[in-house]
Amino acid sequence: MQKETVRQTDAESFNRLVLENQEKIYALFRRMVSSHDEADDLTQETFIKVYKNLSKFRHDSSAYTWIYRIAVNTGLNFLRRRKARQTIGFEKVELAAETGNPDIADFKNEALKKVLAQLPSKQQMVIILRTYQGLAFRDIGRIMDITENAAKVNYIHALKNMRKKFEAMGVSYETV
Amino acid sequence: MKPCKEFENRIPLYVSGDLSDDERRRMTTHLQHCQVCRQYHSALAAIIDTMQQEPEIEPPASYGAELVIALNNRLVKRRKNQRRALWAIPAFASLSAFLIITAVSLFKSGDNQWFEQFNQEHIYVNFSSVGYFGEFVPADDPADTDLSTEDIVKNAIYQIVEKEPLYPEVERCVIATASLDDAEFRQLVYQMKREIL
Repeated sequence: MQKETVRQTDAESFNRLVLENQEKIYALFRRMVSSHDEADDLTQETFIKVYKNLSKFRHDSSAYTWIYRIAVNTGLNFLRRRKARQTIGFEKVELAAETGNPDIADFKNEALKKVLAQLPSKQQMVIILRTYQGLAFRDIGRIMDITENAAKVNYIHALKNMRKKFEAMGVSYETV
Repeated sequence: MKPCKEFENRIPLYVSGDLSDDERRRMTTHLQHCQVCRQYHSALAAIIDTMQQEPEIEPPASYGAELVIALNNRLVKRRKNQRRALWAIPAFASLSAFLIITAVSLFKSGDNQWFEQFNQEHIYVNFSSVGYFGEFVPADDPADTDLSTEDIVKNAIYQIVEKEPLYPEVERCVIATASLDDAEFRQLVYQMKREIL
């Protein structure tokens, strides 16, 4: 009976954690993958890990940071697996650049997705966390278990690499 | 041309608003005088601008509730599997001693190859190394199909033990294998096959 009560309390805390954090975690993964289903899989994988490790959660950090850390590790593992099995082609983007696609915003968004996907995993994660999720470098460092400075260095390299890749694709951001 | 070395790494942080007040003032002054750095800055700022102009991502309206339900379903299955495993461990331990004896008997019989073939032909786990076999029941949840051999063994023992009331012959068959010759053993396997399938 007592055991059941404990389990029920755990389940309630877990459900609350899921509901409070799911939007951010889903949005993080949705920037990394091309479909809702993939983002959903990664979100579920993250929260299953959260559940399995609830007993290890130390209350010296916020639940938010702790869950983010699990999500980021899940995301980094996914990115490494994906890079190992596929190379994203540039054909479509190159063609659009040559023919002068009139819908320049769509074209740039597509190019942006491809360029992001080609970044090294850590750089991709840092730039997503900083630019899309609005996290400070200090928090990114905590979440990714790296120093604040290392987070900044990854961000600097990410932007440099993105610019180079855009140039290689014939996309000039200087003119925007 | 490349941007000035002193400022190159600070320009991304200037764009993201992460420079101190002093550094930011120095950068602003520098950009007013250096065209190369200004172009570099405008390129990076445009990239960040494009990213920030993308619409915010929000999960579908009912996603939170659906996620909680999906997760709870998975966790209920997981707990069931854990209970199975925990229940199977004592059974596994108590059977082990006996199974080792059985194994000796089977290996002596030289009929292991046939037994393996039998297991391949049917969806039976190959327990021949310990002189035992069981029905393999695939997990309902695809995420749980990546079972170790030990998990499969435990699962199969669980199946046999739990179904024992339904198949009273099974336990007697297993016990009997310790003292059977090849022909008798084949006969018992045939009998088990009939009982289980």
